[in-house]
Amino acid sequence: MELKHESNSQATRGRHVEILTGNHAASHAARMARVDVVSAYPITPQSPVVEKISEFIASGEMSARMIRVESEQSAMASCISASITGARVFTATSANGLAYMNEQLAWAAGTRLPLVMCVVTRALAAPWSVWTDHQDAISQRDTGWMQVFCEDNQEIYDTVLEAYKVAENDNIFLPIMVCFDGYILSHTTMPVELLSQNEVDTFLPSFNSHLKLHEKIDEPVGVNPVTLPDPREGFPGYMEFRYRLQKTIEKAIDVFEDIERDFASLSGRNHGGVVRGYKMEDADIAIVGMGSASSQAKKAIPHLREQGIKAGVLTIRLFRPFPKARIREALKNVKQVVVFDRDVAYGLEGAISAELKSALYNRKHQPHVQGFIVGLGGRDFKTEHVIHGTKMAMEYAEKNEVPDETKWLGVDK
Amino acid sequence: MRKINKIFTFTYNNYSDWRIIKMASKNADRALVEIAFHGRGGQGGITASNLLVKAAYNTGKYPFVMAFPVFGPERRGAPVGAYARISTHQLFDRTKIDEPDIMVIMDHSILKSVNPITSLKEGGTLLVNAPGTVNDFRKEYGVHPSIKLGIVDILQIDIDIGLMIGGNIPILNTPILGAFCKLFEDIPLDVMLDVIKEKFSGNGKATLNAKGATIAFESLQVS
Repeated sequence: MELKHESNSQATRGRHVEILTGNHAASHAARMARVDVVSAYPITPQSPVVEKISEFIASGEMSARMIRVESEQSAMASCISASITGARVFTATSANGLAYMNEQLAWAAGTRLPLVMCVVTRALAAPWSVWTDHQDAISQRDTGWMQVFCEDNQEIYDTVLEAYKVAENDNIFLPIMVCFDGYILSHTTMPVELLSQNEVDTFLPSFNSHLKLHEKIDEPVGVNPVTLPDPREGFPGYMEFRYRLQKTIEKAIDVFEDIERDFASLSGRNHGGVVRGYKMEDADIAIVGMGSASSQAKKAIPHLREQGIKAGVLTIRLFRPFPKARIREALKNVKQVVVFDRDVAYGLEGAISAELKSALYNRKHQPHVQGFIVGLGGRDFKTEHVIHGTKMAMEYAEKNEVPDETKWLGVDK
Repeated sequence: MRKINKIFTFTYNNYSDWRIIKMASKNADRALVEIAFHGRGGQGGITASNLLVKAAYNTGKYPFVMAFPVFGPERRGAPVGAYARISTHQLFDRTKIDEPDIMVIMDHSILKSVNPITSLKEGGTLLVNAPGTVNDFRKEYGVHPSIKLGIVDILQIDIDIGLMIGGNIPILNTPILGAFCKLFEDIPLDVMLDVIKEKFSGNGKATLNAKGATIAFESLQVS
């Protein structure tokens, strides 16, 4: 897929536009995806997603079954069970709620269930914080789930619909997190153009999964028995299952792009597939970020260019699977990369920065990469930080320095 | 320079660059308007900010809008804020609004405990729900001469027409939006009234809220 240079998140075909919070945009998408089962436990800033869904169910606009549970661990457990029986499932959570699901997340991915979960990103305690950063989602990157990050409320609505289509693809069958910034998007209203129910139904036919136990009431099957280290009598071993999971998630990049094309021809909106460029056509410097960090970087571009710095922004939309080849392609003409992480892979550096370097390593074209940690726990990540970080990174590149210690912006040291 | 917060000064010492940013942003975002609502929790500031961006969007002049509360827990009765950005260009700014172009004070009594007016941009617009005259208010609170000031006594309007919740809590947000349209002509009153009527169509208060907004529009004092 060609690198898309401007995001096209704007109302186009005179459809119905509502002014919605990011949370409610997600609720509308779940409603229109004709979700069968919703199970969730309240946590700020996610709660309004599920509150709105319960209003839809109460008013009859949605015929889903809401399962009320006592914890996030149980929420994910009931989502898994419902999905295995053949239901299209939705849930949402944040921060420590997501962390509490961790064990069940691995079950969901290992069972290859096409679940969709909104992660309204929020800092992980301790200390306690209800405000945004990407630490919660990033901390679950190795569970086998796919992860997409959104930049505005239209993208949230569209991505939830796309997420079902990707997760339920015959060649994928994997769960997916749709991540968006707590408060910055979750509690901020923006215009969101809704598709008609007919359009959604065309795009997203009825639930597709490899496991639909409700169709096999008379032939009981065991799901997830103990799996031995080595294959035996035609049964794969644990490693064979895990090999297939990895091979499948690698394929998801192409599938995601195909589905984005389908969605674009239906809706007239195109979010760029797995990565998205902004002013990258002639850029010498690429600023890389996800979600709100990437938006704020775009705000800085006119200021940087006015000062003679030819910078563009590369937004990573799909974080898992990490689109290595697409990123290399997008960065093939830049001399330098500046990464802003709203997360820390503690003991190393920012997660995006580390993974970006691994995508570029052992390749012919290796631009200088400098990462910065910004905006943790709801600290404003400002345009000035983008400009300052970019200039700092340019100085390092000039002197050919690659500092081992992490660089933080906007923190009292 | 007083607007630069502590966090920023710590990491960024080159102030000349900051000035370049301020100048550039004026040109690049010429059609960006940032609005702050200040009131008490429960007075409808968040609803006001949402209705405002909807009206701005409906005019067709501002296809890019966002409204957001102060992020975090809210307390009924305590001073709280709600914010809005309306723009002709795609909005990439995801930060708080530190220096609004237009400020709306839903309840002048908050000025006894907090004074957000000092953060208003020079040459900005200030709309206050307060009794008395516009000149007295300007003198009492030392409002800068460059600031366009509008005063409207919404409590009196609410008493006159019975615009109350449960018979005794005055509704401030819909009248103040009517007054807003007088100060900010890009949103015509009838566009705002349609948004207000749609919002309250479910509870039978549409006409009364629209009436409050119209009276506030007509009785606003400006200087």
